[in-house]
Amino acid sequence: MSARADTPEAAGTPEGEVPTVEIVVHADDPDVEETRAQTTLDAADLERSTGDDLARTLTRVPGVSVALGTADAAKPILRGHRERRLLVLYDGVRHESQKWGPDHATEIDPFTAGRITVVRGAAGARYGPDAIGGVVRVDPPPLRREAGVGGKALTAYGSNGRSPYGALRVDLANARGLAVRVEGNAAASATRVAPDYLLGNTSSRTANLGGAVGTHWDGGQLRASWHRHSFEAGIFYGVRNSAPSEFEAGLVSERPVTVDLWSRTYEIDRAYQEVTHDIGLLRVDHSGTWGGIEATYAFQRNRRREYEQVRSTVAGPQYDFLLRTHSLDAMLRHRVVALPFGDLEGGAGLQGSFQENVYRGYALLPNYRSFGGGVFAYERLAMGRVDVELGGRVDGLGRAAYLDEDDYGRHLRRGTLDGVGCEERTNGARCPAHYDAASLSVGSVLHVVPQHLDLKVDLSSASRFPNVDELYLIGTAPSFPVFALGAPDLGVETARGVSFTAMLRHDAVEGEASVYGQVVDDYIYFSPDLNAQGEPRFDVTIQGTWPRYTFRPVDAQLHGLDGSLALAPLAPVGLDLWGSLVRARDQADGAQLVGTPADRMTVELVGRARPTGALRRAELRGTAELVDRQRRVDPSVDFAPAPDGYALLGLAAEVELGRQRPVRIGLAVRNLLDTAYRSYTSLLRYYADHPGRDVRVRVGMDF
Amino acid sequence: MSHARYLAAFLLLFTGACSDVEDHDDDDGHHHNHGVTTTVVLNVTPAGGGETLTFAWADPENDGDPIVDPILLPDATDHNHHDPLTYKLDVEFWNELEDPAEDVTPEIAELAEEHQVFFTGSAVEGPATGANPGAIITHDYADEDADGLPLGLENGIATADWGTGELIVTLRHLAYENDQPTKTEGLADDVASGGLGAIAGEVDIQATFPIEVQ
Repeated sequence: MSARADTPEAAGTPEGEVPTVEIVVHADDPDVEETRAQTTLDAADLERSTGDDLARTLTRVPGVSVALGTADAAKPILRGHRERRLLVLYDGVRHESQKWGPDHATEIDPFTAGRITVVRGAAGARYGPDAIGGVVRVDPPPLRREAGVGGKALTAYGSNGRSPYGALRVDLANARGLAVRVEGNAAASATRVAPDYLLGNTSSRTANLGGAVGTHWDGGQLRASWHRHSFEAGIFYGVRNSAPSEFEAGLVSERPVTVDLWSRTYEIDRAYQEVTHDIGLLRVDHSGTWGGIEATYAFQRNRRREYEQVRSTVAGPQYDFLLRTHSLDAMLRHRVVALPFGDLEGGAGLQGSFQENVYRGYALLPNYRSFGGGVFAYERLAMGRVDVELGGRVDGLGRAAYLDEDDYGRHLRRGTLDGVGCEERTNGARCPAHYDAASLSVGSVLHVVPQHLDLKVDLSSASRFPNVDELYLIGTAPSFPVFALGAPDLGVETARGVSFTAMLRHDAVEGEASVYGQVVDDYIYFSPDLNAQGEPRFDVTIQGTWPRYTFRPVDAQLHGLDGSLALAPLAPVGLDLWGSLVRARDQADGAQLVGTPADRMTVELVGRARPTGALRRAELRGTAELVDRQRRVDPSVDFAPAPDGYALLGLAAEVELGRQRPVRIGLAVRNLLDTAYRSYTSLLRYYADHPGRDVRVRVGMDF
Repeated sequence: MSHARYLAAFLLLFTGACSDVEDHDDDDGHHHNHGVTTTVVLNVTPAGGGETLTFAWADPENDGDPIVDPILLPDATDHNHHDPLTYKLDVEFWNELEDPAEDVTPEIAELAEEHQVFFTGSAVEGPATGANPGAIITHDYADEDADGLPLGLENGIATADWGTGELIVTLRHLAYENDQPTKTEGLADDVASGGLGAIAGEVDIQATFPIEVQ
């Protein structure tokens, strides 16, 4: 059972890339060694969702659901937590973007991943702030080590949206250990189609380009990389910045008002969003008998411009965000210490970041500059059939918001700011704030029947510092018919949770089930602002009368169950199931929190052909995605009643042909019956049905 | 927190702060007019001539706290007898977030094919309301765009009765969608029967005036 180390500290780097310390562990599967529920999507899983964005790539992971935006964009939801409360790591670096927006997709290209790992549950002690719902780690494949050329080519086409996609990765290496990678892909999508109508202005364009250069030596490596993600997408015409009465009229209407004017086109019209995200990083690591050290510097630049439907004489974007982040991560692993009762491994690290946000446009957000940092340490003791892991972390954030004169005046007049604590300047005010948080985790993996049955228990905490929109937002929210008002005195969210996970691995059955509970103190909840009589408050704006929504802290409690089961995973016919249920409520009144995903389960019948000759693999999958209606949320606190539950059928076939360089061909039909449906967690559901049937074909090969 | 500050200081050594965070006027050298309309001005002139009465609805800070002039409209009353009086109603739109304030009205007139002003509320009966027995004024469009569709920058109103009520003036932006005009015939009728939710476009500005005919 001795295996190469793939422990949590090494998991941020791809397998095979780092010559890590030899550590005796109890399995070769990192999903087993993690004390929380964890699922890893490998290259084959990722290829099945060729052309999808990151969120839609993760839908095969139990506990994950997707929030579709009003553009051709989606966000992941993990155990009921949206992206604010998730930590996404790209190549081990915290992904920094305007992730608070409900219509802002995660700006990461899944093609650059060699694998994607989803850790479910609070993981603040190891990963830092925001890891309340869990962590998504996107790890690139290792650079080429042997001299020569290799790579991967993928192409795909989707019928709904008439979307072509092409991707290429080329890896080169010479005999002296220098490796170079160049990779990129591009996709375009025309207007999406719901079963009964076109979804006007949902065209999109995506382009990704990047590369890496690295060298290695005995015990270490140096690597530099840069990636740019570009995304441009129309905002569905049916989304209108409209007062409640108009919004409600849209809800009861069966079809969007101007649906008959729309046509299929690749053109993108106002309103649209234009996003770029650049990440450049430099990493060095070295290991020896003494342990290992790793240091990473990264710079990220996220530019987001949103163009509203304004008079044609008005040029430029109406929302223009620029986020610059410098970060430094360093980690030291000590050597494995053989104790009488087990092997001790562990390490300590520190993380620092400097971030600047520059916003121009409609009244919405202030600029800010922040410094954040954290120190952490963990130890893992492997004793026979039991592993115990203990971790702790302390984080701090200092952030100064720079409000312009108008916004500062708005807050003063409304009383959300009283001037105390802010320093008035010539063109506004500087409002500083400091936040601190501590996280702890204790977890254990019990290998009940080694290689077959493992039980995990984990007690973890995590924190989140309030986002700047939660503090200072003022104005009509772009996506909802509300007047949104930030609360500058919000504090730190703190989550504490426990999870129990069982993993079963057998030739006849594989499965994983995880049950969890979590309390989140001072959970920042966006909800209607009520007066002393419990009645909603309204604001009269230039665009009409809007209900006022504020961010307020509540004590939230979440619990749920998620897992997967594969029956006969190696047999000619097998069955896969995965699903989740989440309950999330305000502890004060027991009310279910708005936005909690509905119960869901996916059932997949898999047929596998025996390899013969040039046919290396052939699979046929029939899928049923079953989603219940969200029945627990009080409709009076949402903008619209929860949509009905739905069942979507799908069919997919995959073959791998060829002996030397096999070609992989896939055909998949999603929403086979062209069912009209709306997903409770999607922004689009307030305006229209979701896209209907999509036939996708893809061809891929490694070389 | 102290460790974070040390780290921050270290990071600053090789990063450096940029002035665009603190300077809100630094806009890459470009100043974007974001197309906001903050103010509605109603100029009411007796059809037979006379002094123009001006009433404004303004939210110059765009902070949800508008300043509203109540409309007080004399009719041709002769003691206890109500006698209708007709007026010319010209509407102006301003953006007071710009310095100096920008008169948006000429731009609306220029882009008449993608705009229409609607007059609704308890006080009015007109194309966008249908029959309203409680109305104290009536409204008619007095201008049109190049396609012959009503615009609403120039209007005629007449007093219908004494009393008080609300006049809601809405400037609707009816942008093209897939190169097709969304401003079509009969939009006022559609508003009358189904409200603004029944038509295309978005509200640029909506002003609610209290109105009294005396």
